[in-house]
Amino acid sequence: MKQDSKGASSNSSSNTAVSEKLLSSLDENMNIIEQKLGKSSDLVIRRVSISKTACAVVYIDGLVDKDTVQEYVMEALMLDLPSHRTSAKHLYDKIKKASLPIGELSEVEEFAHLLNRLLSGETLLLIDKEAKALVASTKGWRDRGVQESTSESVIRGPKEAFNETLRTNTALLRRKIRDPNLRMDAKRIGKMTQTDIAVAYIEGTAEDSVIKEVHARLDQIDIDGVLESGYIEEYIQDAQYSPFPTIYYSEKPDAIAAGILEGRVAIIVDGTPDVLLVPALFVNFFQSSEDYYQRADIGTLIRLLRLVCFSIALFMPSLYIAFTTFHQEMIPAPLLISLAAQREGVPFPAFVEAMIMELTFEILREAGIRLPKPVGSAVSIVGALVLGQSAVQAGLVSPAMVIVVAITAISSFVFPAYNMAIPIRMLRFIFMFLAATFGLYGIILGLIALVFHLCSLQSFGVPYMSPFAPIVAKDQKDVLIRFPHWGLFTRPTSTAKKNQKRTNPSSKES
Amino acid sequence: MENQTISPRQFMFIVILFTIGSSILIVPTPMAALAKQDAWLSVILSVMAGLLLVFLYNKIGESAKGKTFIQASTYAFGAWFGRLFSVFYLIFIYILAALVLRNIGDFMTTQIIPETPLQFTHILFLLVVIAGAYLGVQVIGRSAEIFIPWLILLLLFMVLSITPQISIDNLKPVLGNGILPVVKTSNIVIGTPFLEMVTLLMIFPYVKESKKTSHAWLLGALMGGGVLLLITLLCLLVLGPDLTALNAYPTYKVGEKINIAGFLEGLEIIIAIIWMITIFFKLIVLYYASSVGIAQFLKLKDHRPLLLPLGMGMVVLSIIAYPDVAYFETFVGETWMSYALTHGLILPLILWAGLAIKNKKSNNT
Repeated sequence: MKQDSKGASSNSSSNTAVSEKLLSSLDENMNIIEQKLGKSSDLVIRRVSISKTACAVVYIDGLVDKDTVQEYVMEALMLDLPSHRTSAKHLYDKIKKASLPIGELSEVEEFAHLLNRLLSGETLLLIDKEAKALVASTKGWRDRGVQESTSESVIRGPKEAFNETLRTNTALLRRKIRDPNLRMDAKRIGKMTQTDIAVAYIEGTAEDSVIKEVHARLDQIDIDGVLESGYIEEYIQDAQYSPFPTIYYSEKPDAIAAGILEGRVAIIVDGTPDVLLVPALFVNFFQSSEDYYQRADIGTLIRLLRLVCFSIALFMPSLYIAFTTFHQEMIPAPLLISLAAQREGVPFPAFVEAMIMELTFEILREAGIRLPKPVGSAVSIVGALVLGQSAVQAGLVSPAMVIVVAITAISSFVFPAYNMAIPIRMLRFIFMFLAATFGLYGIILGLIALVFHLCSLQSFGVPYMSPFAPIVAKDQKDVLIRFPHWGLFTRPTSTAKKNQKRTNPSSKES
Repeated sequence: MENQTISPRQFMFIVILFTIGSSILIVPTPMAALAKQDAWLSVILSVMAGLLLVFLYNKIGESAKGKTFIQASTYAFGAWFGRLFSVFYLIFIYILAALVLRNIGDFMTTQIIPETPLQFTHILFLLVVIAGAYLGVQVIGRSAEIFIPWLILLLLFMVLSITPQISIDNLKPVLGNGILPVVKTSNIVIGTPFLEMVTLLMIFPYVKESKKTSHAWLLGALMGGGVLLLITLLCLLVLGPDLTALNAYPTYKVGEKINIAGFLEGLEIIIAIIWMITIFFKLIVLYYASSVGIAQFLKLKDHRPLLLPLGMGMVVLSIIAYPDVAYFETFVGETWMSYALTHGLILPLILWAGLAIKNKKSNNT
C-alpha cells in the first residue's frame, strides 16, 4: 500500500547557526553542496539549461514524490518554459512567480537552511547568477498508511491508529477537531535527526501555564537524535525517579483528540505512532476511550472492574504470602485446611514459591512479546502445560499458587495503558518481599508509602492524584464512574480551568 | 521555611485522623474499667470538653498570625525565654510521638506478627513516617484525602456487619453508678487525643484560607470524637463492659466477632488496617511537628536533615519509654492527664496571654 504524505512544516528550521550565504555562481554553489553532502548515492543532481541559463535541480531520491518532481518541476522547467521566450535576466522571477505549478514554494539564501530543506524531502532549484535558491515542497515517501491499532484494540469505536508520519498524524487530529483554535506549534529536536515535533492543543481551553511549560521543557532538550517519543518523554517528565508514568501516550487519534478537548496538550513526534499527552493524571491510565463509546453504565462498571484488577495485580501474591505464612488464623478454617493440604508436599516457603512462579510468568510474557508469531503458540504450550500442570504434579508448587499467579497475570493485562502495567509489575515484587518479612503489617505500610509517593507526584503542575487528592467534587463525574455524556457538563478543572463549559445541561430532552 | 500549603478540608481530614489516632486503640479499656457501662457517656462529655479546647487552640492560632507555636513563643517571650518555653512543648510532642510508636508496636507484636522483634516493627513504621515527613505537609494532606474515604467505608462495613451481635442490655443500667464516675473517666479521652491536639498548632499556619481553618478544626474534632464514641459504644454493646475492660484491645476483639454467613470470619484485620492508618497519621503529624519545631527552634532553613537522627532517637525512646502494657495502662489512667494538662492547656494559655500582650503593644506603638 502506497500513500503519499507530506512531511513536516517547512517554514521552521531550528538550525539557525550562523551560516554561509549562497554565492551567485552556480558552479561554486554546486561544489559546496556536493562537498557538504559527500558522494551519497541517493543525492540526485540534474543540471539543465533553460533559456541559455545553467540551472540545477537537486533532491534526495526516496524522500521526494517522484511524480511531483517529474510533472511539476522537470516538465515545467524543460518543456513549458522554453516555449515562452524569457530573457535570462527575468528567468528567476518568471520561474518563481509563474512557471512552477507547486503549492509550497519558497526562497532560501543560506546553505544551512538549504541543506535542511533538501534533507527533509524538498526539491532545490538553483539558477546561475542568482544568490538564492527556490525550494519546492515535493515531500512524499512511502509510509504505512493509516492502519488498525495493534497495541490498543477496542470493540466499539474508531479502529484507526496514528502512523509514523507527522503530517498524517496532525491531519488525523484535524479531521476530528475542526475548531479553528486547534494549534499545531512546530518544533525541531535532535541535532542530527532534526526530528519534527508538533505541539497540539486548543488555544483558550488548554492552560497557558501548561503550554508554556511544555514549550520550555522541549526547548531545553539537547540530544543528537529523537527516534521515538520515548526520548522526549524521558526528558520532559516530572517524576524522573518514580516507576509511575506522568505522561500519557496513545496511538489512537480518538484518545488523543479527547485529551485535547479536555484541555491537555499533545506532543506528536515524527517517526512514531505514539503521541504523548500531558498533563497525565493517575486516573487517566485506567480510562480507555471505549469507556465513552459504550453506554454510561457499562463504562462505569468496566472502570470499577479495572480498579479491582489494579488491586489484584498489585496485592494478590503478597496477600497470599502474608496469609499463608503469618496470619493463618485469619483464613476461614475449611479454606485453611484445603490450602494446607495443597502445600503439604511443596518444599519451598510460600515466598520462594511465589517468586519462582511470578518470575517464570514474567519471562514467559516477555518471550511472548519478542518471539515471531509462529513460535508464540509454542511458548504458550510450554507455559500452560509444562510450567502450570507439570510443576504442580511434580510437587514444586501448589495448585493454589498457580491460581494466584494466573489471576494476577490476567488482571495486569486489563489496563488500557501498558506503561501503567509496568510499575504494577515492579511494585508487586516489592510487596511480596514486604509480605514475606513483615506480613500484613508490611503490606499496609507499603501501601501507605505508595499512596504518599503517588500524592507527591505531579504532572506539569497538576497533582497526579487529583481529583482524589486534592478532592475536586466537580471532577468526580468522570473518574470512577462515568456520567452519561449529557451529564459531563464541565471539563476537568485540573486541565481546563479557563473553558469549563462542555455542554448545556438542558440540551438533553427529558 | 516551607511554601507548602494545605486546604482547610485537608486540615480537617488530618484532624479527624489525629483524633481517632491511637485513641481508638487504647481508650476503651481504661474507660470501661472506670465508668463501666457508662463509658460512652464520658466520651460524649470529653468530646464537648475537647471542642472547648479546640476553640482555645483556634484562638491561639489566630492570634499567632501565621506563626507556628515555636515561632509565636519566641515572638511573644523573646529569644531566650521563648526558647525555654518551646523546649517543654517540643519534648512533649517528641515523647508523645515515641509513645504512639510504641502503641502500634505493642499491638502488632502481640496480635498480628508475634515473631517479629519490637525494634524492627518500630524501625519499619518509622521509615515510612520519615519518608512521608520528608515529602512535606502538602503530601500528608493529600494522602489524608485518599485514606479518609477508605476509612469511612471500612468503618461502615464493620458497623454493619457487627450489628447482629449487638445487645442493648449491655448498656443498662444507664448511670447505674451515678454521674461521678462518668465525669471522672472523661479525663481519659480529654487527655488522649484532645489535649494532644496542641501539636496541630505547628501545622495551623500552613492552612490557606485561615478563616475556614478554625471551622475545619472544630468539625474535624467533632467527627473524630464521633468515631471514638461509635467505637466505644460498639465495644460496650458487643462485648459488655467487663470484657471490654479485661481486653487489652477490645476493638480488635469486636472485629473477631464478625461473622458473615458462617464463612467470612477473621475480619478483625479491618480494625487493624483502620488503626494502622489512623496511628500512622497521628505519628506523622507528631513527627513532622517535632522536626519542624526543632528546626525552627534552631533557626535551620530546612527540617529534613533532622528527620533521620530524630528517628534514631525515637526508636530507642519508644523501647525504653515503658516496660510493659500494664504499666502503660496505669500511666494513661493516672499520670497522663496531669502531664498533658500542663502542656496542652497551661502552656498554650500562657502563650495566648503573651501573644495578647505583645499584639496589644505592637498595636499601640
